[in-house]
Amino acid sequence: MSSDDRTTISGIPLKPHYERADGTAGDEVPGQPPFTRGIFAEGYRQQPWMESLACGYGLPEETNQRVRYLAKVGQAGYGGRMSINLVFDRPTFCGLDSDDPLAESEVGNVGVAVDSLDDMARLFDGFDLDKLNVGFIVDRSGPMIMAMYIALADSLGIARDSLRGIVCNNPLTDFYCSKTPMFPPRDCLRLMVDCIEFCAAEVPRFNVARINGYNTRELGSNAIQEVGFNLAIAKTIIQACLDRGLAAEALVGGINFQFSQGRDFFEDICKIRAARRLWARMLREDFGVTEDGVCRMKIHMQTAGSSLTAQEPLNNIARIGLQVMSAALAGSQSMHIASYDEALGIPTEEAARVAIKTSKIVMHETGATDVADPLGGSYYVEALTDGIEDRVRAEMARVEQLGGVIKALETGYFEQEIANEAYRLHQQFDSGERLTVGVNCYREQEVRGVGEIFRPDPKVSRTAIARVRELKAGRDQAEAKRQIAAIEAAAAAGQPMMPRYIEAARARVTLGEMIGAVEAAVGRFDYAAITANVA
Amino acid sequence: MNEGSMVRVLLAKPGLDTHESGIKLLAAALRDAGMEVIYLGVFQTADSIVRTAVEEDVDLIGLSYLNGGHQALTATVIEALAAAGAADKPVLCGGIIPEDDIAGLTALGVAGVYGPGTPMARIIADIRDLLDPSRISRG
Repeated sequence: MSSDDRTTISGIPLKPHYERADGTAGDEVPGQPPFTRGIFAEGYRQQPWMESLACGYGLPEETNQRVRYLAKVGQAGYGGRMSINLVFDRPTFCGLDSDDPLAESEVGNVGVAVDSLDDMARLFDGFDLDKLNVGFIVDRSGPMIMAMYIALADSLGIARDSLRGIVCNNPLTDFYCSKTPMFPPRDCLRLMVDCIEFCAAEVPRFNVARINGYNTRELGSNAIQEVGFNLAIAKTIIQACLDRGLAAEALVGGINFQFSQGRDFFEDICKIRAARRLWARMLREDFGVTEDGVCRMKIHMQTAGSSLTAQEPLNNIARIGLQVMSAALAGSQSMHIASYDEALGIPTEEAARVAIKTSKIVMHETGATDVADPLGGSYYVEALTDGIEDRVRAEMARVEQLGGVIKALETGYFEQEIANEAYRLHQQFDSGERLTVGVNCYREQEVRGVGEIFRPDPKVSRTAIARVRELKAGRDQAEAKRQIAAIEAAAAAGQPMMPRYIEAARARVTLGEMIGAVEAAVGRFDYAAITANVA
Repeated sequence: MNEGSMVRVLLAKPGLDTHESGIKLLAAALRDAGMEVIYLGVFQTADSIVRTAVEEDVDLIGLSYLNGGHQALTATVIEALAAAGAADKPVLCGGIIPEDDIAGLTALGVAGVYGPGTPMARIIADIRDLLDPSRISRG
């Protein structure tokens, strides 16, 4: 790239320097609408970001041990709570029990295997449920997993309103990202809103949806699409809630966002500032929300897995450190800090420890937590924030013109746009126009990996399969059957689902059976149409 | 074998893994290199892959894994290829595959394993080397 022709990684043209006239840099104040400069006037003084490393592998007991280890080396939630951010294995994510033939080679590989309430009990064994910030990184299966968690709390005598955390519960993004086997989009939306409605009433301190810009970005989108597509999705979800008769004030505070912190330090900071401003204005202008407090966009940042290299993995520690710094300067409420071995497998204990300590170094050794929005007023940062905001608005308008989010999901619009962008960017790396150290420049002849990498244990699959078979054989069959039928009937009739899932979980109905019962009522979305449009 | 002049490549993601950024980039790069690419998408099985490979008479199959299922799932594809009398179609694997596992895949008959950061040009060149040069020159 020539010195007079530079852009951000998302293609926004850059000047050699910026001046006062380039941005609004106005009189915005941290902690006040539209919250561009952060959602708290005090920044991190009262509460630094929560570390919530996505964590999960193998059997529930193994993940339980890993969570304890992360806490031991410093991972901390809000106000002394323990932070647990759970990744489920692909079968669980897809709604398949461990004994499903399609699941066999993937049980516990890249997340924890959870089939039933008993697995949920093993996962949380020894933890005080009312002293946790728990995250469930699962979308279509999110309501069912949440129901199992509520059933577990009930069985332990823990009050539902003392549970805190977040269930991701946003299957819409998955139509183009994680591609879980899926119900049709409108049914997904309805089932998601069911969970939001139930939790708002019964589990009021629990966040009910995480709008996942991170996955959008990891698929290869640019920052504009990352924010724009996901704000459009959030808008659709809020509208669906309002259509159900929920009050915006009561629900938007439980909708959180997740964004990526990747290889454009400044753009990723400005993206967050623009997103907060857009969210607050959207809630006010489009939904008439007048209560300022609920217009604060709560953000979980994830350092970008796609920015890490399998070559010379220790170099990733430097990358991750910069990304944590950038997330801190952007003002995020919680962070997943990647491990240096992310491009090789799920983290080893040592790699996870270094990730936690990286967060602590930024928190305690850099001064980044002393002042809210320390970059506010920088000519460049304000101009780039404005530039991203304008482009995001244009992107959201385009989605509207195409007929809205559901239409865009059904036609593969998001996926196609992201694929185009990913290829554009890839060509810049392939041609050497953009550089990745150790990959397309400064390469080592002899590639040195890290010593130990995580290997899935074949015993996990055998144990999980044996357990779920034993569970299915040993329960009250008539009751289980009755509960499965009740789920199917409720799904077909459009009735509230959460009470059905909770009762079914108690009757030892498995996740796969719950998903199966809903699918019997509403059908399955066919990805082939999208793939044909896109590929 | 393929009567057309273009190299035909079948790309697919077997199993439940849906990390498909890499394979989609590869699809675009192979098309830019003048090859015909059929991308089956996610959630593919040995059966769906081999059926398409035979019906479409592809020259080569590329499988992507980022979830650790590479050994077991590739074995099922290669067995199914043999059973369908299509063992001559080379199979390549890519994604997050630990170095120690490459030997296992090679033993199954996999013709190449590509990790993250592999230049597209290298994969394209390997595909051309693997296939009959006289046919490719007509592409």
